[in-house]
Amino acid sequence: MQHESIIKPRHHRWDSRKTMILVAASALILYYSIFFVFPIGYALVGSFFNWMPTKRVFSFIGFENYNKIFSQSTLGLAMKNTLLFTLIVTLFRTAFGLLLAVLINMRGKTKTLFRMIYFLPYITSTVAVSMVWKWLFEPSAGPLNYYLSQIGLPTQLFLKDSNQALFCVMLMTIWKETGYATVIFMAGLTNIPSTLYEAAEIDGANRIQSFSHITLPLLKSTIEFIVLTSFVTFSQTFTQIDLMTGGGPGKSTYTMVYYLYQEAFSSNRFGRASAIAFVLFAVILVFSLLQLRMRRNGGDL
Amino acid sequence: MKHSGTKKLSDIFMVIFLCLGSAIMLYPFIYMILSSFKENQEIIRIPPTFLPEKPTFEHYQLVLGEKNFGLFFWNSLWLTIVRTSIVLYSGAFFGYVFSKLRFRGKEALFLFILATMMVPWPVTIVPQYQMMSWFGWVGKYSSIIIPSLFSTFSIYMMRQFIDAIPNELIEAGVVDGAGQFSIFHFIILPNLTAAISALGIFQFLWAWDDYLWPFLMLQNMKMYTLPVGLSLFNGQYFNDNGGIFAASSVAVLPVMIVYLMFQNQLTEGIAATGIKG
Repeated sequence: MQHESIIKPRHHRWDSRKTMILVAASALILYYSIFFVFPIGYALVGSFFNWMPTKRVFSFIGFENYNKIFSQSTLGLAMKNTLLFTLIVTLFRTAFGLLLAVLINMRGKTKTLFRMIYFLPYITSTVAVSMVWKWLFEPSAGPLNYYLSQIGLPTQLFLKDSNQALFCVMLMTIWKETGYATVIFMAGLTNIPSTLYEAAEIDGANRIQSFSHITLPLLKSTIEFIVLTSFVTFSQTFTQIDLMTGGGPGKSTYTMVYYLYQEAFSSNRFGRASAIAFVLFAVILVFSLLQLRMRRNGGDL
Repeated sequence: MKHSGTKKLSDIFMVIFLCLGSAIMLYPFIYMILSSFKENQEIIRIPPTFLPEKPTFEHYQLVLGEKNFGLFFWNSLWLTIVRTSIVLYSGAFFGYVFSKLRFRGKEALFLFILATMMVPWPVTIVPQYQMMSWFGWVGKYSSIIIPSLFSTFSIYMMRQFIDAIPNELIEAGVVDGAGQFSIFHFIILPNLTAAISALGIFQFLWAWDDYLWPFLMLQNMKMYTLPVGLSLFNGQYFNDNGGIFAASSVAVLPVMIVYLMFQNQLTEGIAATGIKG
């Protein structure tokens, strides 16, 4: 923010500058109070209430909602699934994204073609591709099982198997979201001067050495950006779970947000749903702070 | 570049790897498009066919006619355009105020706005649902448009972009006697085309993909957006498989075509926001 505002206040009259500041500040305060501050407070208060809007119930019950969710196994399961989903998808998106960016960047004329193909899934509607992938995973007539049997491998139940379903949703999510990381990493790569690589080549470094000693350190902040945004996005996954498994089989693919959704909009228990939301909030906050600290420590080195 | 044998060999492996990856990226779309032209019996046949044996348009006729997907498409399109335009305009306006005007409490206000980005949307969705029924907006488009009038991300990005616009431009406007609103509209906005197209893509894709909130809010089927309409097909049983593929194609293909037409500008724009952010 080196060029701090240059338009100095004029004292002699009420000018358009003051009007603009007044309009902007009051609009922002009004909007953020109504759509952020109030709802957050309302949810926090509501998490201590038996809150069922359709029955017009709103009565104080203390920590009952928290006690209830912590005593049920669903919270642990949803938390485990959310963490597993977030970590695995973030890891693969970052690793594949980086690998693809480096490989595509080495190509000449086909560079834009490959970038376009890998980015394509990212721009498509989550609901639509979830439904297409659900059909790809279909155990009886779906194409994946057909190809598995063609190469002599046992067919799978995929989304209908409680041990596989979450991984199938992860696979689809990695397929859809990796292209974004690739594009961001490719932009980061263009900022690395090619003279560095040339110098390394003269010194006899191979590609892997150039990668680990030049590319990785110089892309550090881009990697951090992808990891942090992935973490925040995937810890709140809902759409593909809802469409591909509906939380099933049983509750095996419940994530925190899916659990919250079920409590609020199927069971009409808004208080309990708010309690789930704050547990998720706390977990995301702890992880973000941890990452921030790791970043600070890393920066000191 | 030296051309040693091992380097050539590893080059070939890399190209094969990239091509295999590309096949995986494209396969679901190819499968979707081809299946949308197959008859329902052919889709569930074992072993599956690759190309449609008797290509048929019946699914598209059903989806666009009786199932109203043309209308859903139109609803999605105008709603997305309206939401994107508002968020871009408001983002540029507040971005300008934060970047170039000086007033007491500015940084505090900016920090307060940024802090809201830390709050996950699942926290606010439950109380907002209740608020929408107080306001009487359930079942109306206002429940979708008004809670997303301003976007913190957009304000933040616009401030960054406007920081890069030289102050001399604004001073020249002030000297000419232009008011702040004219300076914003006639000097700042025309200089923001790169920012607007970059952010616009994101906002467009997000709004186009928005599912849960419109699903909760819209009640009349005539008002459904594409994702909400599509989810109707997602029953327990696959009754109308061809319909699923035709409807998915209607949701996916137009965006894909626009992307292919402008792919260079769009990808660069997206990359630009990533680096800035």
